[in-house]
Amino acid sequence: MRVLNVIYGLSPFLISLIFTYFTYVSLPTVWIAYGIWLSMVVGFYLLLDFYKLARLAKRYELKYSLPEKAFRVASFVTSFNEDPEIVKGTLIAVKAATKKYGDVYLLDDSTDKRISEELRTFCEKKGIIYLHRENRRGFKAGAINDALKAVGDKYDLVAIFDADQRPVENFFEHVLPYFEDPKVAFVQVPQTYSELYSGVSIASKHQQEPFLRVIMRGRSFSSAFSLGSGCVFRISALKEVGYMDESNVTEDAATSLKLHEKGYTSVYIDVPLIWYGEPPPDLKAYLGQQSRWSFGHFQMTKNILTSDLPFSKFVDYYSELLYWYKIGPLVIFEFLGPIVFLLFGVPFLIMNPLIYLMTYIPFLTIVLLIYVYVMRRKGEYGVKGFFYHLSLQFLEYFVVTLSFIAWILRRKRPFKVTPKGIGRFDLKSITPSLVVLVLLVLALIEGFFKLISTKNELLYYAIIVNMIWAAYQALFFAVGLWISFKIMKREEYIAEERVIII
Amino acid sequence: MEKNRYRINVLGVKGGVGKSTIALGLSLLLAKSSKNVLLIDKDIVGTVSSIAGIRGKGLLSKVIDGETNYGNSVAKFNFGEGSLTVLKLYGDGERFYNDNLLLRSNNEKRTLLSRAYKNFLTSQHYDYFVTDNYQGVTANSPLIIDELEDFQSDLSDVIDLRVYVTNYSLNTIRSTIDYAKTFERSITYKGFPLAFIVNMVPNTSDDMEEAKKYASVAKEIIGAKLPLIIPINKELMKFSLNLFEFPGSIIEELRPLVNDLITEDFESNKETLPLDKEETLLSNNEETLLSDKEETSVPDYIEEVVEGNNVILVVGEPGAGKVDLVANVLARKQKNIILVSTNPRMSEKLKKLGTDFTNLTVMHKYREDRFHLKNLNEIIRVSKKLSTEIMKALRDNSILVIYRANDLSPASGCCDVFAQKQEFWSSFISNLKFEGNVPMIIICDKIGNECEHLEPFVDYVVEVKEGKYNIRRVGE
Repeated sequence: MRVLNVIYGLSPFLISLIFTYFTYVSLPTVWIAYGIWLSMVVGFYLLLDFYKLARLAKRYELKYSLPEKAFRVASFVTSFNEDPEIVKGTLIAVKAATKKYGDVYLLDDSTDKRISEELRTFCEKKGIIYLHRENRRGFKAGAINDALKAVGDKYDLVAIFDADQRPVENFFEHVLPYFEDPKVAFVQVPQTYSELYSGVSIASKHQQEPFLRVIMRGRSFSSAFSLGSGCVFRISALKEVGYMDESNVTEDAATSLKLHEKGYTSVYIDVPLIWYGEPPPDLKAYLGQQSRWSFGHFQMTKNILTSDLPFSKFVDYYSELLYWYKIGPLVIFEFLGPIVFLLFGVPFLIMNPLIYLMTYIPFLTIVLLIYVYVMRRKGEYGVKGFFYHLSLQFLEYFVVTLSFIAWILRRKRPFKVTPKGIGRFDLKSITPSLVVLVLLVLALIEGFFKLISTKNELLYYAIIVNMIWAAYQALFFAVGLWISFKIMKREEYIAEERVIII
Repeated sequence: MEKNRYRINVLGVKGGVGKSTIALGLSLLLAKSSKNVLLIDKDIVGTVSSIAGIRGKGLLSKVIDGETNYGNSVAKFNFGEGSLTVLKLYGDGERFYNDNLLLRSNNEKRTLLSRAYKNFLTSQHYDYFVTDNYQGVTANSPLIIDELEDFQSDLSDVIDLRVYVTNYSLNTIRSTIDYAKTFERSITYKGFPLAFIVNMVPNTSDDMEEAKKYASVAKEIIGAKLPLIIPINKELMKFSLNLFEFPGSIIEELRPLVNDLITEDFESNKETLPLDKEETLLSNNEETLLSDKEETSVPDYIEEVVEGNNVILVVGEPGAGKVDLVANVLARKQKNIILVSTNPRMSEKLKKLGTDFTNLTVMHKYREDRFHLKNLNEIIRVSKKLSTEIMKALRDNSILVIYRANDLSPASGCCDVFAQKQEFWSSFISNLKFEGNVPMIIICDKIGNECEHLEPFVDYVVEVKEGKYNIRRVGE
């Protein structure tokens, strides 16, 4: 634990407390005021770290040539009841990439007998080592740990691929040279979402862009964390931290934290070394994925706050954590505010609305401008990407908040593999967002009538401020819902002998 | 009395020897000495113009394309009382040849170019004119005479001087001397050869001494006034290609030349010549070695050539046996082999033969960048970055093997294909050859004109055809 880290960690909560003290209206509504302030302050903290990483990312430069290095590699493909055709395609690609460097293992936890038999036969035919577990202890992390304890001593490195993430044939030529430096614990490559057959899958691809093109680039050679798949670890380093962290549902991030605490560094190579990857095909799958990721990060709250990381690395990790707080429980306050004020006429914050408009609108504009500036010419992001990204993010407020509550109540959420395959529209998934959208629209209508009837000038501007907020949020919710409706036709997948070299 | 005016033509038989750098350094130093200088970029590659920040087409291309706005073919820089004006005359790549033919058949355009060019020459009073030329141009090439005709008709009083530039390789020195002799013989207007410059000499006292001797011998043979040697310049590797950041140390190396020009005293540099050296330099014992060789024993000969820190280009159709030939030569060498590979065939072959080597794999990032270059400066930057990285892998007694040149060559849509390839290979090879100081074997698959672009920058070309080999020295 480092004092500076803890002070920084607690500071947004204290700062918001001070703002709240000067602006709250009554004790029953003080929590709304605090929530709104906290959300804004956290947003500011996130912006600062994003800006810092963007500056570092600008200097991110990859080498043109690297000396070939021979390490002994174990390639692990993990699977759990996925479509065997998809797993087979991945095994073919991983086998082609692993070639002389080592062996390929399929860590199959499938409970479906038919699937596991089919995969076992396929592996035998292709010279892939098939490992099957009956108990699913520790889920994916457990499967990796069990396999590492059994065969890890034969290898220097372990590469981990999800059942749907396929590497290019020269994957290891790009990755291995970085392990020449004994300080490097793992090398991560960007995940790829290639199968885009729905609005949600396209939006989640866009949502990855700022993360993969800016944040991870900025954190390379410092605090870049493992994304679980498309990652190669140094086995001796993993051993040092007691293998993969099975206690956390995002074992990748939790293990990265431990490795960085030990003084190891990590490398992120932003090169399309994975050419096939399935995004969540529909909203339900997406929400399942986000719920797991957020839960895993909430679980890490204490580990991050008390971690023994240098300040700069700590800020990166802490921002990653704050992000989940911001888009889950905190964002609720942001739309609760205008609804409570406009629909129920309950004031919760005293502040001159003109001062608010004059300070917050320029602030928001600057934030957006910085964001647009950083993201320009980054992949296919653009204005469309921005809208897709933010809209999808609004839709997940409910599941992220549920994860937060589950974590607070110390309830375990079962590990759910993100379902892959054909997307479906699911009414249950959109209900929480639909409810908020309806309330926001009602608040806007109510606000409009209040606006034309009010005589009080200050109140007039307060209504305008709240209406702007409600309209802003309603827009993203509406776009988000529209995105979740869009599902395209997709052809049936058949595994083929396909190898790609870049 | 008004002082004489001079025109200094920077010439050389090979690419990548530093003509443009010297032309630019010379012009800058003159300008900084309160002179008004016009630097005319006659090289079809257009390096000088690019460094001067000229993004528009050259004068010739504009006239051919019917454009009349010549403003962005020129850039002017003031240095106190002096000034440097850079005029891009050609510099748009291989289209020169076609444009020149068109020009010759079209009197109207010809007059137009003439008028525009003369306008630039006389719009201001220049004390010095410097020209940067394409490698190996002959005195009667259209690249030389067409412009000179216009120049002479208005400025016949300007004294024409020639500066010959070579790198520090015996072969190139020799062919530059031959080139200078031929060039000087065919000149009819007033003037004289000014200097013979041996550029990029390694910074050891032995090499400097040796280079000094070569330069003096060459100076005597061609009747130049001044021998000059310029050591390898580390700053040049980091040069940002912005005119204002041009390495000051290079400029300083050119000071003796500029002093002579300003004082117009060309006779004080008389140095005594060790005569026996001339004989050694000119006796071509390698030549005899070459012509007597049987085709089958060529690998032995390549081995000898490799010993001399030469750059060897191995060309042939895909599958002609280049990899086998080179692998066999390497297997017999007691050298640290550094293989720069874009393709695993060569490394697999070497492993099969049990040869030890270091394999530098060219990464995706490079292969992506080479298709997305925005201008010539970026091409040079990329070439420097790659060669600097390779240089870090070199050790004592290394030999560098590049497989395949085709995958390294830039291929972006930014600029003329010819210009980008020339720029790239010129800077890539000269960096590695003179900074790295190692022999180099470059393997190129004969696809399109790819390999021809490399030829001006290498010492030997080995052609492989159906398992048979033919070797020749470049520049003969």
